[in-house]
Amino acid sequence: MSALENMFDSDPEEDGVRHEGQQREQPRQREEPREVDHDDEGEDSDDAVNSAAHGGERSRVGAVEGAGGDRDDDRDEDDEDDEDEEDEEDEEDEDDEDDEGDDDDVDGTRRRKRPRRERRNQFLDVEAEVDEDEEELEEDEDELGREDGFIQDEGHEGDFERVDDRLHREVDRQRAAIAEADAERLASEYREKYGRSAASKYRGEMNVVPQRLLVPSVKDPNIWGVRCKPGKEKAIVRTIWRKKTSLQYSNHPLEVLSAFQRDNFSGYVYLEARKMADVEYALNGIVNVYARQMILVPIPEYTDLLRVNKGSDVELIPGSYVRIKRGKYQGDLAVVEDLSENGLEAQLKLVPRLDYGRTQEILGQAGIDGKRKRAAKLSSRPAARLFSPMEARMSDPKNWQQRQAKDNHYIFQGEEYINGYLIKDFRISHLITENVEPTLEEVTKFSSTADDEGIDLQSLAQSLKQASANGTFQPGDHVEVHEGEQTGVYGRVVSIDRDIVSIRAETDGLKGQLVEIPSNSLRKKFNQGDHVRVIGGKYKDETGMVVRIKDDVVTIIGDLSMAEITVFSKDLKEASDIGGRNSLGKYQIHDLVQLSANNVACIIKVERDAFRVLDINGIAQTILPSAITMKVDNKFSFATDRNGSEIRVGDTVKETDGEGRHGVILHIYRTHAFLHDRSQNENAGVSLVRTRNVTAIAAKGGRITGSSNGPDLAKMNPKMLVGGNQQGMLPPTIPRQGGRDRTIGQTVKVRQGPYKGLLGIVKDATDTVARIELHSKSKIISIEKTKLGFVDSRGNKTVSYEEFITPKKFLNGNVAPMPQYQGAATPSWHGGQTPARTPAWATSGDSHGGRTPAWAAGDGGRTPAWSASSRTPAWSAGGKTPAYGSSGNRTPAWNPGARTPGRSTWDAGGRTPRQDSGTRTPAWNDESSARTPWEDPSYGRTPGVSIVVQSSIYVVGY
Amino acid sequence: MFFLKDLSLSITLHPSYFGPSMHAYLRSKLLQDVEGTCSGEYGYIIYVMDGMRIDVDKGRVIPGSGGAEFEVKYRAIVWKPFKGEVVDAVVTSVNNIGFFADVGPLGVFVSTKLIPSDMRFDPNLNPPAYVSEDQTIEKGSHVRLKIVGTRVDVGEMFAIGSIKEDYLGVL
Repeated sequence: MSALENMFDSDPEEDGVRHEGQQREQPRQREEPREVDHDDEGEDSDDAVNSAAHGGERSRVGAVEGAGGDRDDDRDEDDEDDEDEEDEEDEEDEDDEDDEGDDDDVDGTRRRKRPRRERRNQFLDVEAEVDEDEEELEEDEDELGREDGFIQDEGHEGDFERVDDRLHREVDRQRAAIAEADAERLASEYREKYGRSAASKYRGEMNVVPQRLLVPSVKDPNIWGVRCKPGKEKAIVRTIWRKKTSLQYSNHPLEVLSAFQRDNFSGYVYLEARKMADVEYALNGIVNVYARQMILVPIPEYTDLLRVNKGSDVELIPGSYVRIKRGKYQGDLAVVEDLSENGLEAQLKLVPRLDYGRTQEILGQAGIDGKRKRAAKLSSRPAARLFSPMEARMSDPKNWQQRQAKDNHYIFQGEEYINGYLIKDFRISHLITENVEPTLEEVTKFSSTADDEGIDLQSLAQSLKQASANGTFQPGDHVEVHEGEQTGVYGRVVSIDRDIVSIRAETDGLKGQLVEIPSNSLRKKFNQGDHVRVIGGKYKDETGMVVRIKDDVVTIIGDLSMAEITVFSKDLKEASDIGGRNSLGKYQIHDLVQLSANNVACIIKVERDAFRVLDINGIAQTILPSAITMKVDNKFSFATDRNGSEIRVGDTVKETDGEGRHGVILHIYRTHAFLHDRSQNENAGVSLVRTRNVTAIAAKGGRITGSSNGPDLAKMNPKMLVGGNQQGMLPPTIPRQGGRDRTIGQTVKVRQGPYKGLLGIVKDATDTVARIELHSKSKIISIEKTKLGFVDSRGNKTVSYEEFITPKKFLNGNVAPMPQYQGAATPSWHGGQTPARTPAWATSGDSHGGRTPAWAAGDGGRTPAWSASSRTPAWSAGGKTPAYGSSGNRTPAWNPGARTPGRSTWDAGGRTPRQDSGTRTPAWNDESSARTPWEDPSYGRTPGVSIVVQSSIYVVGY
Repeated sequence: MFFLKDLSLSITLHPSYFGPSMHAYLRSKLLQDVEGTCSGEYGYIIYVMDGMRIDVDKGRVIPGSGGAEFEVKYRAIVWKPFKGEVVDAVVTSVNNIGFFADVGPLGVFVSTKLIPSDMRFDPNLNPPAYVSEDQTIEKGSHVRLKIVGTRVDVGEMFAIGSIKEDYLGVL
């Protein structure tokens, strides 16, 4: 009860109530030194007010009971006895601890007086204790009214000389009452008296008077707050009390009713008095008080001033988790082992932080310097780990002792260690009991000595629920009742109303029923294989699949990390998306980022505020987003693999040596490639390889790579095919002419482009481009030679560049003399190409061998007219003559690689009416059934095969 | 589990494909587009049945583009892994948190939590393996496992398996 120092008017002329009050207060005065002496901390105020409440309560109860009967009196007396015992102990404590010389005198006198006072007090308390606050009540209650009369009497005979007489009467009355009581009742009373320890815990919660009736009014004395030196409040209150007691019987007693201080308001002492002058008188001569700075506390604020700061609504029970507020173990998690009877202290189990004298050693070497010692102490606190008897014994054998070998129970430097844990008493006020939120890591520390699954889920769940019972459930959640009558019932949450969750049960018996369950007996229910997202804690935003469930603890395999994560089910939510935390700021997982001028890295994991990256040196490191210069965008970068074929981002490759890793290329950077393989554990599946050391397995989207040239089905379209043909077989390069370019000085006609149709003269030319001075415009333009038509000397026809450039002797020898050719060499030459001409071409076997119909067709002549005509039997027949075959172009070796003529034959020429009629040859069918489902890229006809098959059909067909 | 399923696919063709070989092209495009793909609804489409009897409808020219849309009906063998299904798999990689196995196209992960406790991971073996007294799971081993959960990614499925039950484990 500490700091509350109450002083009462000793004026005998004052009303009886006041007098009674004084006597009631006696035991409390004796109680207080104990608390004051060893308490500097926060709970003082609470105790103070608790005690005040206690006292007040007692008075009220006493008042009621006093009239109630003998039995009640007895019980109250018992209570008093208990308290008196305590008081005596306290007194001893105080005597031991009190150092001040002047106090000894006071104590001496007190000690002499005390026995008398106790007696007196004992009964007075029982008979009638009336607070100021209760004056109003007296009118209401008859009983109190009667009491009042009694008190009044007491007030009249308030002389101390007469108290003894009254005491005798009291004792007589008591004896009579005891005598009347039968033995059994006596026994029960004694049991109650001595067997009940809870009595000391009595905290006045049984308040029968409504709180609102107890609020102070204008009739009550005022409270003044006086400034004082911070930290000296308690000393000042004590001094005032001494002053009060010493002046009690003098001519000028202090008119102060009470003096107290509140820890919440440091730098103030509060005095309760009727007049301001009284306060000034009381403070006169007391140091550290600034009596001039005095404020009158407004009446409505009285209650606030004296409100008990109930630290928490959390009731500590053995096994619950708490944190320590300060000191060496600040912030550490501890388990409540036991609670002291007075409810002020708790015995905690925690992981010790011992350095076994190491800091001492260091300091010893560094020299005993107080400052340095302190600095060292502050800077590093030892890591939390279990007590090691061996180390302890080595460091300080004198202070080492073993209690019980089998229990692993030691005393080291005055502290107790059981099973490696420190067992220590802490004041509850030094503990954080709310929002403890123990993490799984911390909790496992407490269970590490026990078996693997030894997490005390009960208490853990308890602590967690206290912290976040609300808001963890959402409608639609699968939940399960884990305690109470409905244990085992599961269902889906329908609605939530504060702590009550309505669930639609899915258990057999209750199927479809709506059940209301308090949220703290529910937990989320998951099944093996469920896909979930972590919604709280360290792994927030990870998703994964549930692999194991043990009560509240769920183990999941992360989707991206492929690592096991163990979390509480309350932190999980069913998820439909995959995810995870895969972006932070503007960077995402698997991005290639620039770290420095010559270092890039691939992000392999995104953490809460950092990235885990694998850099180009193959080193995985954790970096902050600020360490990233920029994102490297190289989506189109490519490289060549070991075999020289092209690899691009997205291709699947395999490492040819080393670890033989394989995976999909995420990025290619210079000579390195980052691969991703989900099945790899290391670096979240990302690995770094040299592009020279890999071979392509499959290209993204079935792109044709150099090594595998499966048919591109997209090219099956005959129209597209012709284009494809062109790609496959480029026009032969026109042989370079030696000497002066023959085109220079020629009159030409532009055949393509914006200048189409204009005439001009070639002024200058390179291999491919000619500069032409136009006739119509005074302008020289550059244009590709192939877009020019060369007007021959007679001026009546134009020939293409190819024709123009081809040495005349070839043309003359083979084609030129032919009238057909002459006729066809119009601007619409290609269109006019007649079947009759082609055989001549084909058989010509000239040095331009590329002048096959296909090629010619590709050169701009891709008109339907040509196609139609070319697909005439005559042409085809001509094309497939042995003569043609023997021309050397259609060698088997040539066929597979070029992949065009064969296909062209198959598609265009080969699609003879006969084939279309549906009588597919066995060869065809065979091939189609040879499709295998898992060989997509190579599935189907390889060109070589198809050509053989098709040509055989073809030959058969014709 | 395997199913025979009638499915359809609509294919849009560019006008340049219109012609005598259009149907053949549609068929091959269907095969290319469909076989080996995976959807959450049906699982993997393993094989398109009756390759030559695929029903291609008349097609409908899409106003404005000149292309045509064809509804191709086909019958396919689909395979969808189910929770609780027991399948045979080939182990593809083994590490300390479990092992990966392939069930045809499906990747399955078996966590250590779902491996019998008497099987221990031995990283020193070559290749690394889970060993018990009479069984060894290493890369290439054939195992029988039970699927405990599946997840559908885009174009892919993934499953978690268990061998922690009777009659499961190395074959």
